[in-house]
Amino acid sequence: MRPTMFLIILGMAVATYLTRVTLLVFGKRVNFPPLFLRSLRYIPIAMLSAIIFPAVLAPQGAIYISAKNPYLLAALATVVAVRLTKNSVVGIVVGMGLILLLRIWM
Amino acid sequence: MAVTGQTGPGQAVPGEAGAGYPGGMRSFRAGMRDAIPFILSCFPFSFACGLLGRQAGLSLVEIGAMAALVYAGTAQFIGITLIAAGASPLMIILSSLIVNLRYLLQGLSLSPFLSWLPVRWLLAIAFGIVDESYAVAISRYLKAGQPRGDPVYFFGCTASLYVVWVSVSVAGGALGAVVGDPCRWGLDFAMPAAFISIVMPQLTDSRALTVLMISGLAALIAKEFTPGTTYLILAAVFGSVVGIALEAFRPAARPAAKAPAGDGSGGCAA
Repeated sequence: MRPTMFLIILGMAVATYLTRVTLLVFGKRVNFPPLFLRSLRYIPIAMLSAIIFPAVLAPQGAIYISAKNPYLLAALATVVAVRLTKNSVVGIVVGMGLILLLRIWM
Repeated sequence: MAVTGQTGPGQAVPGEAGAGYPGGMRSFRAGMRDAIPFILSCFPFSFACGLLGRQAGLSLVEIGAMAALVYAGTAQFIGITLIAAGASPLMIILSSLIVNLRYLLQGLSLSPFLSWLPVRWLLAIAFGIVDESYAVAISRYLKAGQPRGDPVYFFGCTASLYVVWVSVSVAGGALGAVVGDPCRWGLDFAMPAAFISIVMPQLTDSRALTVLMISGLAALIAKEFTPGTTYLILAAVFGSVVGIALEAFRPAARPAAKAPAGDGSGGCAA
């Protein structure tokens, strides 16, 4: 491995680890106000939907809300499949199947 | 139930709290099993990441080392792009720091459930925090309704994601030139699909659904105007403020949930 590349990778690893560890460990030391702790309960749903929405509604970067957006159609299929079967793997497989079909058709 | 899920009676489940972890192996396997949707969704991304690394002139060892040590998809994609563009090492390292700031929030969100553990456990758990393991573990901890989250479950989740991420990255570096980028077939849809399937069981009341819609739209707008992954942080903070505001306007039908930080069990099997 090239020395510069090793340093870059090591630096990236340290920087990334710092973001992961800081508040996980500090959460133990600090007594946060109750209102703040209650607000933490909304972070999971908010963060997950912040990952989902742009990936589905702006798959190439630009907002693309259209019946021709394969990611949007596949997302709706996944929602329906998960709702009906309560099985996440089935939901993913249905969505993936639809998107591959749409790729062939469109 | 979802967002107010921490109102557990605060009793320790045998094998879920305590130093010995009698149910350790079972928890570990449960973590691996629940990570399956994200193992599927990891494949196209890690493969594409390895391919991109090869195109940027990284050796297979360098690709593997980056996946194994950094273990953060977005940071690696951006890092590799910057390496290919000849950016300075400091710039590349700084961009990793910025793009991963969302892990601060994820660590903070996990900490009430894990703060009962010794610090050395937290140091180990922290390495495995990625969007995927966070999504799986926080869902489990909320659903369990126990103030003490199970760390072995998190390790199970991390183990399977980590092995797939590193090995498929190297495979992408080795075979990418032949196979091509799997994402061009729309396989990158596996990522939002996996997150959709994990968030849906958490949408049990209208407030959860409102937070989902508002933070999703906020993310969509914020992504247009902010660089990197800033939109994830903005949307998550905004979404939790909206959640609290909704509580003020429409108090929960049941008594407000206690914050999960305090273990109300009073001396369980610690």
